[in-house]
Amino acid sequence: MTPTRIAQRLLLAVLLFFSLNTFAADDAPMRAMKDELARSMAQIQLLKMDRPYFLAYRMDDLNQLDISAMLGSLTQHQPTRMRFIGVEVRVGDYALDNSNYFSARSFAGGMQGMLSSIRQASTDDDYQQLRRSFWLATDAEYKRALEDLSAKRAALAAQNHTGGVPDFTKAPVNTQLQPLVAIAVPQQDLEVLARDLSAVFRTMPGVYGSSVAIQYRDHFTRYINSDGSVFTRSQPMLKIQINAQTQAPDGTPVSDSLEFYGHTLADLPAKADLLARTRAMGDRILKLRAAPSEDHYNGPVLFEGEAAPEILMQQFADGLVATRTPVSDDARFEMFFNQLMSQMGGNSFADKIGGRVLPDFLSLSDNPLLASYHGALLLGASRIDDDAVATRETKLVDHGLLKTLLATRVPTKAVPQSTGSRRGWGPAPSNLIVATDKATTEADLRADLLRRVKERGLGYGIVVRHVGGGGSASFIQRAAQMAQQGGQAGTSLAEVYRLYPDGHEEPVKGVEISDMNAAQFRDIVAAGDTPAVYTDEFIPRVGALFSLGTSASTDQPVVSCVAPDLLFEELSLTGSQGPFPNPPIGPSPLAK
Amino acid sequence: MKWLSRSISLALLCSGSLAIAQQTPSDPVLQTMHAELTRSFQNLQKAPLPPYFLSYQLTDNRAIDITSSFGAIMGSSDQSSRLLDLDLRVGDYTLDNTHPLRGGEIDTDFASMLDRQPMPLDDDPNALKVALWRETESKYRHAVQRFQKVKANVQVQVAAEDQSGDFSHEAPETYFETPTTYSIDSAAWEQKLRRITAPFAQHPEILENSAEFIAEIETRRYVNSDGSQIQISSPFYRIIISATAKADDGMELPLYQTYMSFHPDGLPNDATLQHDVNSMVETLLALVKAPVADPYTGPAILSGRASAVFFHEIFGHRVEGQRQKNENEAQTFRRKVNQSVLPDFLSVYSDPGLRQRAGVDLVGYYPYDDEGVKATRVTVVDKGVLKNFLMSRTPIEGFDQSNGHGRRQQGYPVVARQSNLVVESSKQVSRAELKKLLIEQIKAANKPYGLFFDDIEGGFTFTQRTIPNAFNVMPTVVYRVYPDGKEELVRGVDLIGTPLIAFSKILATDDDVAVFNGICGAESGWVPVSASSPGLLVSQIEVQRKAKSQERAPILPPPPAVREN
Repeated sequence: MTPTRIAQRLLLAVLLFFSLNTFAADDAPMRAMKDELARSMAQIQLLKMDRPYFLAYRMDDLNQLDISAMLGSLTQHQPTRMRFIGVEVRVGDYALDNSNYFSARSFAGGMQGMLSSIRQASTDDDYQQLRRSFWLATDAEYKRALEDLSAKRAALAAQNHTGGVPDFTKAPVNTQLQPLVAIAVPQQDLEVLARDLSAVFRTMPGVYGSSVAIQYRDHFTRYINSDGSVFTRSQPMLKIQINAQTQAPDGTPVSDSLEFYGHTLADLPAKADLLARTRAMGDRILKLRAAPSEDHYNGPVLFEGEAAPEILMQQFADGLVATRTPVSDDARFEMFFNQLMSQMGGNSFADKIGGRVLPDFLSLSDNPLLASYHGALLLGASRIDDDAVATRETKLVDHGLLKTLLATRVPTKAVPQSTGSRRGWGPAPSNLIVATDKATTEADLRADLLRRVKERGLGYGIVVRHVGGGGSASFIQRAAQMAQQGGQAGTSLAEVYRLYPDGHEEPVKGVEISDMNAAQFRDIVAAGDTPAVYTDEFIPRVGALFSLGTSASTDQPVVSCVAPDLLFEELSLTGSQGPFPNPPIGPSPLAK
Repeated sequence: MKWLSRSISLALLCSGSLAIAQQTPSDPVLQTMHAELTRSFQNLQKAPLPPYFLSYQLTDNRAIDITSSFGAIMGSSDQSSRLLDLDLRVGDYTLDNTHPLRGGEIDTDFASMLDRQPMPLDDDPNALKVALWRETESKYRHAVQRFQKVKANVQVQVAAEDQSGDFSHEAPETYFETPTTYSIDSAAWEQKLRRITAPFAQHPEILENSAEFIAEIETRRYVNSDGSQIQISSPFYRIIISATAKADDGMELPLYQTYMSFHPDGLPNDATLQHDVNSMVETLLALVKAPVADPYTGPAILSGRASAVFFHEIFGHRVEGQRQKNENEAQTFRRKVNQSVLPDFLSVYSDPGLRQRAGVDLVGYYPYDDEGVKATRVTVVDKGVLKNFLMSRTPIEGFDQSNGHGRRQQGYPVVARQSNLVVESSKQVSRAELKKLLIEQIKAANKPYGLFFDDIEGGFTFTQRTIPNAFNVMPTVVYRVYPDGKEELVRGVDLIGTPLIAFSKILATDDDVAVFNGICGAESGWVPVSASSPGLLVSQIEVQRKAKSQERAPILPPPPAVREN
C-alpha cells in the first residue's frame, strides 16, 4: 500500500485562479510584444509576397534551480534565470500555410537552426531591447515561412496528396491574465533536504550509487497573438527524484527511484516521511540483490498503487494525442515518418476512434480544470493552453470505446478542432483520470489474480508496485526500439513481487515486460477501488519535433494520471537481458 | 581540424599572485584524493590484469558570467562545478590500453562519456571517496576491455613506423598553492556592461552585439600513483566585446575586442572601454560601406596579431608531439629535426611559464601541466632550425620525456598542446619601413596593390593526411595598400595557404610585437593559449572569398525608439 493512495469518491476539486485584471497594465515586456506584433502584422512584407495571416509572440521567464546531492554532499547547485522569446509566423491561409512542412532544410544549422523560432532575450524589462528582439526574430521567421510555403506548394503540386485537412483552425479570442508573482525559491531548505535525503545511503555501503536531484522551476509566460488573444501564466513546479542502484553478485543491476512532484515544498510529503521512504527503498534494493530473478513468466499481472497510473502513462498515454504528418518535398520521408510514429507508439490511436481500446468497465478523460483529486495534487492543471485556447475536460474513452484524441489548433483528419491541449511543442495530456464502474476491493483483486494463477497451473502470480524509469527512460527505450528496426525492447520493472496462493509475497529482481503495447490494455480484466496518482514529464513525440519551425514554446509538459489498481489477464515477463558490467573489484570506501 | 577562437569562453588555468606556493600539501581534498587513490590502486593490484598507473585530476571551477546586449542584460550567472579526470593504465609503459588503434577501428568510448559520476562539491571525504571509487572501477573495466583490443590490433596491423612506448617515466612532483577566492560586485558589473553596449543600439547597421564579463577561479588538484601531489589555484578575468554589422549584400561583418588579466584591476577602465567601443562602431560603419575584395595572390603585411594566429595555425599545431607519431597525421616536421624550417632570422619557443609579453597577460600560462609534469620552456626553432617538439607523457621516437605540454579540457584525454607560443625575430624594421618594403614587393611583382591584415578573429588548420594540409586565417580588418602608399579598407576575404610554402615566403618582420590570447580547440578539447609575434612581410599570400550569409537585411527598420509610454 503506498501512502499516496486516496479514497475513492468522485468529488473533484476545481482549480482556483487569480482574478483576471491584476496583471500590471504597464508591463514593459507585454507592451513591447503588443507594439511589435501590431507593427509586424501591419507592415511586414517582402517584395509582393504573402504577408502573415497569423502571428503569435511568447515570452517565457524561466527561473530554475537544480540541486543534486550524494551521500550528504551537494554535487550540483545551479540556479538559472533566463528569458526566452518565441515567434510563430503563419503565411498563406488557414487551409494552406507554411506549417506542417518538412524538408532537409529544416535540419540546416543543426539544433540551433531547428529551434530558430526560440531565442534568448534580455532579462531586463527593457522595452526597446525586447521589442528589438521580437523585430529580428519575426523577420527571420517570416523569411523562413515564405520559403517553406513556396517549397510546400511546389511539393504539393508535384505529389498526389490525399490529405485535404487545413493547416490551422480558427479559435475564439481569449484573455486570461495572472499576475507576475515573484516566488522566493527556498534555496536553503532545498539544499538541506537534498543533503539529508542523500545522507540516508551513507550507512548502506552495499548501495553502490545513489543520488538526490531536486528541481524547482517556474515559467512565467506572456503570450499574445494576432487574433487578439492574450494570456499570462505562472507554472511553478518542484520535483524531487531519489535514485539508488547496486548490483547482484552475478552482475544483474538492481535499481529503484522515488519521484515527488508539487508546486511548492508544502505540497510534498513531510520530511520524516521522505526520509523513511528513501530508507525503505535502500533496504529494499539491498534485499533484492539476493532475490531470485524471473526467467520467464506468462500470466496475470496486477499493477498496484502508483504502478497502475505509471504503466498507463508509459505505455498508453502516448497514443492519446493527434499528431499531424508533415508534408515533405520527399514523399519517402512521409512514409518514413508514419512508420516511425507507429513504431514509437505515437500514432497508435489515430485510426481507432470509435473502436475499443479499454475494457467496457473503464472510462478515461483528460481534465486540465482539476487542480487536485481527493487532496492529491494534479500537476497538469491550466485554464488556458499554449495556443491561448480555453482548456476543458475531454472524454477520451467512454466505457472502453475511444471517442476522440487531444489536439491543438493544428487539425488532423481524426480531430478537426482543438481540444485546448497544446502544451509546449504539441498536443499533450494534462490530467488523465481513469474511472471504473466495476470497482473491486484489494482483497478481491488478489483473489481474482490467484484464481487465474490456479486456472493456468502456475505456482504464483505477479504484482508490480513500481515500474520505474519515468518518461525519459521510456523515451530512451523507444529510441533503442527504433535502432533495432522495430524490434521490441523490454520495459524494466523496479518493484515486482511473486504472490503465492497462500498469500505471501516474495520480491524478484531484474524483471522486464516484453512486447508491452497499448493494445494489451483491452485485456485488463479488473480494476481496484482506490485510485492512486502518478505524475511525470511528458516527452514530446516525434511529430512535435518536426513542428519546431512553427513552435514558440520551451516548456516541458508535466502530466498527472489517476488510476485504480489494474489486473491484466496476461503479460509476458522475462529476466533482464545482459551483458552487465562486472561488480566492483574493491569494496566501497564506506564499508568498514 | 584545429580551431583558434577568441569568442568562446572557457576554463582557464593560471596562477595569480595571490597564490602562495608551499612545500607541504595540507589541503583536505587533496589528502582524500591521495588516500582513495592509494586504496583503490592497491585493491586493483589483486585483479588478474592490475593497473600500472592511476591518476586523479579534480578541477573546481567557479565562474561569474554576465552578458549584455544593446544596453540590456542578457544573462547573469554564478556557477560552480567540480569535474574529475581519471587516467588508469593497464599493460606497461611500452604498450598499454591507451595505445592508438589503427585501421579504422571505432575508438570512441561513448558509454564513459555519457555515464560520468558527478563529483561532490562539498569537501566531505566519504562522498568524495565513493565518487572516486565508482569512477576508478568503471575506468578499470573499460581499460581492461580496451587493452584486449589493443593487443589484437598490434598483432593484426603492420608494424608502426614509430616504435616508441605509450607512456613516459617522470619524476613525482609536489607543488601546492592555497585555494583562491574573490568577491565580485555583480550588480556593479551589470551596470557597467549595460553602459558598454548601449552605444551599439544607435546604429541600425549593427544587428548583433554583446559584452561579456567572466571572472573565473580554477583550482586544479592532481594526484598520481607515481606520488605526485599538485594543487594550482588562481583567478582570471576577461571582457569580450563583439559586434556584427550586416552589409546590403547580406555579408555579416564581425569585430571583437578582448581584454584579459590575472587581476581585476588589470582590466581597462570605463573610459578606455567606451573609447574602444566607439572605434569598433566606426570601423563597422566603414566596413559596411567598404568594397568586397577579390581573390588575390601577392605580397602582404600581417600585423603582429595576424602573424601570431598565422604561426599558431601553420606552425604551432605541427610541432605538437603526438602528431609525429600518429600515422593519420601528415607529420610535416617528423624528419626535419636539426634542419632549417623557417628563415634564419626567426626563432620560436613555447613557454608555459611566461606570464606577460608586450605588457599583456598571457592566457597560456600554467606551472604544471594536466599530467602533473612541470611546465618548461621549449625552444622549438632556433635561428630557423627545428630543435624540439611540444611533448606530453606520450613519447615519440627520439623524444622520450614530457616537457610539460600535456593539456586537456576537462573530460578529454590529454595530448600535447601549445601554451604561450613566442615568435622572435633578429631582422626587425619599423612598421613604416616594413610598409616601404611591401611597396617594393608590390612593384617588383607588378601587382596593382598589396594587402595589410590588421586584425583577425581566429583561424583553423588541417594536419591530417587524408585532406589537404591547408590553413585559413580569418581576418576582420583588411586594407589594400597601393603603390603610392594609399590604404583602402576592404571586406570579405580569408587568408589561406599551405604550411611549407607559406614559411618560405617570409621576408622580414617589424618591431611591433602583439599578443593574441585565445581558446584553441583540438583532440583534447578547448584550452587557453596565446601566440605573440611581430608583424610579418610575406612575398606572396593568397586570399579567397569568405563564406557569406545569404540572408537579406531585415525588412522593417528597427523599432522606433519610444521608451516609456
